[in-house]
Amino acid sequence: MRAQAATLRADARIGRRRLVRGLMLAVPIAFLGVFFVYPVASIVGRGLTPGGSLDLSPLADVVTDARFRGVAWFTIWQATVSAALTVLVALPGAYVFARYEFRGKRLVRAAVLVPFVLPTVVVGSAFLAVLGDGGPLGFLGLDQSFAAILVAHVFFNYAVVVLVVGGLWAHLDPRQEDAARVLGADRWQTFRSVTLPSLRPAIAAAAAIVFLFDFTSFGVILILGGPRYSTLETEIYRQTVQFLDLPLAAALSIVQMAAVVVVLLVAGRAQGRRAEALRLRAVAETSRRPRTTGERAVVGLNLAVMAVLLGGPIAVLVERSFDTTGGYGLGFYRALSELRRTSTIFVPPVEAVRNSLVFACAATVIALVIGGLAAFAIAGPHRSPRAAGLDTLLLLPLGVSAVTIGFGFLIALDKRPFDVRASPVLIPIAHALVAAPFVARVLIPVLRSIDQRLRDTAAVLGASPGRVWREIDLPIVARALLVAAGFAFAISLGEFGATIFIARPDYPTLPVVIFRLLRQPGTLNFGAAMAASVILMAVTTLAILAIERFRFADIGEF
Amino acid sequence: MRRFHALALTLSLLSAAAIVAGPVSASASAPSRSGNTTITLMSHDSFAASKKVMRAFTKKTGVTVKVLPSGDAGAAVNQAILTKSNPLGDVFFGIDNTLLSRGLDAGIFEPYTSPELANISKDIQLDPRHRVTPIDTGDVCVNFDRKYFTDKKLTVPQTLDDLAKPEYKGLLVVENPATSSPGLAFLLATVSKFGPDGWRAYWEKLRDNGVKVVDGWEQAYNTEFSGSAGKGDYPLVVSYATSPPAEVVNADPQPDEPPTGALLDTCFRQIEFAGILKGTTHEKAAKQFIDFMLSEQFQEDMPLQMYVFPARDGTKLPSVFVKYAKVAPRPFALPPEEIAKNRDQWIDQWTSTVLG
Amino acid sequence: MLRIAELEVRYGEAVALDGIDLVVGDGEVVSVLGPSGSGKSTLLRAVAGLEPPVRGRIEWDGHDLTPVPPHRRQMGLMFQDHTLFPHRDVIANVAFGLRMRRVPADRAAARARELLVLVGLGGYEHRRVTELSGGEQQRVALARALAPAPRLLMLDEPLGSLDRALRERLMVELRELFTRLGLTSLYVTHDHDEAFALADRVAVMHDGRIAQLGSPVEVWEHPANEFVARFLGYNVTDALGSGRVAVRPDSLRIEPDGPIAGVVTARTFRRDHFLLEVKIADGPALEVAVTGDRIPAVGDAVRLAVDSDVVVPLPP
Repeated sequence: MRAQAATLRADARIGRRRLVRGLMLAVPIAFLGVFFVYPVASIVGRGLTPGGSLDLSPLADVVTDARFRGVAWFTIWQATVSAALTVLVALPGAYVFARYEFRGKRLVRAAVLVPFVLPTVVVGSAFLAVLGDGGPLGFLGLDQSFAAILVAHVFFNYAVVVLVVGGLWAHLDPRQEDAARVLGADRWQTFRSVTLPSLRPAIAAAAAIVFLFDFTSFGVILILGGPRYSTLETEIYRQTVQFLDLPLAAALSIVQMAAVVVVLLVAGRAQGRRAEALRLRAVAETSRRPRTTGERAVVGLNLAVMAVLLGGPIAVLVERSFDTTGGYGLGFYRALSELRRTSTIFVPPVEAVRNSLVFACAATVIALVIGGLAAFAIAGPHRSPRAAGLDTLLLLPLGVSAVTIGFGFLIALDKRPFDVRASPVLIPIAHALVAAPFVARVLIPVLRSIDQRLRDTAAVLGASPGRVWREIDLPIVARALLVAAGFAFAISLGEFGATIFIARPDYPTLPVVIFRLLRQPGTLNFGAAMAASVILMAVTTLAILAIERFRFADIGEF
Repeated sequence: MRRFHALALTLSLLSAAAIVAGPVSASASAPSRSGNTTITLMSHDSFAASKKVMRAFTKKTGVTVKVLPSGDAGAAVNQAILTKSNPLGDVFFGIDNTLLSRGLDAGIFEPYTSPELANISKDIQLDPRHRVTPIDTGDVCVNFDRKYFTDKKLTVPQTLDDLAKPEYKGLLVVENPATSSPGLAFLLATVSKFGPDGWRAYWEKLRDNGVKVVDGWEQAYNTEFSGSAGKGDYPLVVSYATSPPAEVVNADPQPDEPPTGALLDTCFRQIEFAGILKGTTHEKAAKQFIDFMLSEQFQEDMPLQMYVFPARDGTKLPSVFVKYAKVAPRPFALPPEEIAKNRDQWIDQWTSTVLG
Repeated sequence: MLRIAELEVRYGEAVALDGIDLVVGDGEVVSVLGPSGSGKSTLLRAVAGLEPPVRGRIEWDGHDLTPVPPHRRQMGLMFQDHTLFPHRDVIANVAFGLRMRRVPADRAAARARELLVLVGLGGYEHRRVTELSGGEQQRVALARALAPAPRLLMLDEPLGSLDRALRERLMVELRELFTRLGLTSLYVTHDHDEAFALADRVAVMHDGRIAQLGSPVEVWEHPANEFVARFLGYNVTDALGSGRVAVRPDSLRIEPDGPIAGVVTARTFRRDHFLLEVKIADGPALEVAVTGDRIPAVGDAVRLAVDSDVVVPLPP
């Protein structure tokens, strides 16, 4: 009898654990279900049932049409090459951030995210100023070329690799590498056999995200590639937004989703599922100032790459924002608060900044909650084995066309009283849809690397399951959490996500202001758009710096 | 460490306060004390009016107008069609003659014959059933950079045929009609001039003459065009007849003469319409707003807000328009039904001819 | 007092613990000795509450612990590679358990400092744990486990990753500590010397069961079965004429007219003796510990003798 009661209570314990696990999984699934699956299914469904009955012929048409097959292939191929190139170029940058201390490091680390938030239309003009026929690099003939697309993709996504991989790298114990060196391995062998295996989950996570961003890349293809280059995303845009050919758009969306799932699954299998628990160290312990000339050269070279690749186009933009007709000055900045002041289309800059920040805070909170819960359900202490497939599915919103999702919102989220289509609430939700999977993917490698025995030790020392999470998991992932928060903030500031193409509740943010200014001819409008872009860059940098400074209570920096 | 706690804490509190207070909507005009109706105006992203004018409307009728910017003209129309069973707004503004048939055929508009139509020329009232009401006109024309032609001592081209001449090789940048409204208008101009059988040959000539194609107007005008802020390499660009005066107004200091001009023999007439969306619950207020858009006050305000020409006869134009905005005497045009029928096909043919 | 009855733990289909019965009295140190895979670590984890048993009971002073979660069992657990919390300094690690029990911060700090002195690390309070040497880390881990005054201290190969000299020194210190504090302890190791040096009783584990339980002397001098005998380094052979027996290498002597004939096939230097492997006619090779000046070389023919009173009969 007593044995039975004891077993019952033990089962209750296991039952409660399962309930918590289930809840942790249920919230992200509900969020994705309502704001992703349902809208996408609605719009795709509408496309495939034009006369009321299911008609899959557009799908057959797309798959058999050589042109669309070519477009699909090009999309996959350019995204793969872009992602690979980005990882290659940014990995040394990640190394420098992980292992070395240098003056201004905090600022550089915040500034590296600036390209991420800039609208392509703004960056495009800066790129073209350099790569275009009249520009200093015009002789390369890169205008409207595949190479220009590649360079732009690296520009935008450099930060992802540097911060995600660099984040985990900073925690790795350098003594393992030292041990290998002493045993006779040269630098390259050490990297390949000691560092790379430990970094692989983070590299895979970063590469997957970069691939998805490049896969659904829109502005870069159109502006820097020109009309000769066509990806699934630009095609879906054309078919949905311009031609309203829903059946074709639906078929293309399905092809897009299928391609994404296949690539992610293949990549996931290649990477290997189980990550070893790693011996982690505090970040401050693993980095130091460069000592030898060689080390200084490495740091210097990478900083130079960042200065040229990232800083170059940005410098062009900054210069233009001050280059008024009467010489260098603040004229364009003043114009921001004066141009068309009396018009309904006018947005006081302060208001635009405020709206941007408000939406960014809301989107970040949502993304951290959703992404965090998902990450813990997938890789945390009470992980569910069934959740293992979830981390691939979780990335799907990043790989599906923003146009499809946006139009899906329009027809799905319209049931009163839940008609959010014209509500400001939709904006941070759309941003969070992109940011939450990002957050989860950033957290998962770090969570997986936590030795389960640390948690066991804490439990035996008296920490309840909730306490274990707060004392062990949270401090160790704190840094990754901050990186993720920074990205979520940047994603929102840059107005990623479904609302950029569609009916957007009129709460103008900085990117909206920039677009409005660019739509009108006139040097003042253009200059003011540059000024607004610089303000966006500054706001981003300050916000990221502030986030990085954030600390939880008494837990020191790890 | 403490310092940074304080910073983080302050920022968190500020953000929390901001979130609680909520974002600020741009287009909700002054809270109406008298009336209590709010209607939503679904439009493309370029809708603009003076705050004073909108306030006057609210004061007169008690109706507040909330603007819902919905992408460019094509995107906005398509979204209106997509959501017709549960419309996003009460009034739609921004459907032009190139998209008119699509909108009318989809049946998204509620017919309304405004009394103000007495002041509008019959030529532009393209829908006899008045499901849509013309509000403004604008011409899509090739713009040129004066300084370039003066410096190079080159005669400014005048007609579409001129653009294909060898002395203007590599000087023209156009937008992709598949993705750009002015790009499409320019294509339609060529179809109108050279006919459905001849326009492709013309584009072949343009192609051989080094025409550059970019995706959108912003890129063409702001980056590639030499006459505006981007200081690009191309002195000829497809833009609007109202771009030259805009170059005067939106410059500091304001020049005496616009640095650019429009080639009036290359223009395609665009007419922009507004309509009441079927399914609105604020029909009376919607009608009032349509009337208002045709009123003297609104029509006078429009040119400097949206850089278009008022549809209402006898509207006083701003001086900068009078001086610098020329109206094309014989712009190209095509009936909306013909556009609707052939548009997709023409775009496909254009793509294979020029980009192929 | 800890009482384990019929404890069975499975990992999926595999049986890790196959019916363990064990009692550990107050103040007693029981060593759990065995090769890897024998289930030693699983036993500790089960007692700590980290592995749910399939069958059986774990009781403390008569109260059933099965429904009690790990954080309420008031036990101490020290892993082989210590698993100190890398994100906290030494004193925060040591005070962790006290913090979990809501001991006021100043009292917790004071007690933590006390324990650091006890383990010989006074003054190390604010060092980063990742900067410490192996031995220092073990001591911090020990202080951490002891700080909340657990009713049972479990150590899982705590000295495993240390060098020999350090291990020997720490073994002595641990023994003193156990006696001084009157700790009840379960000490898991694969090293015989450690087990015998520290324990009041030794449990030898094999394939999830306890193969023999007894005092160090008992187990050492009278291995109860073949497995234990082999594990302790005994020769197990039938060649001595009294059935299957176990005999220690140092109980065999090289004698010119000994009853067993053999050939030396290997010779290893073991500091205070040589260990010879001698191939004999009927049975596996015997290991013989030899001291003195004239040590046979490989290939020599030798004759072995043994005293019957040091031969341990084994069950059939």
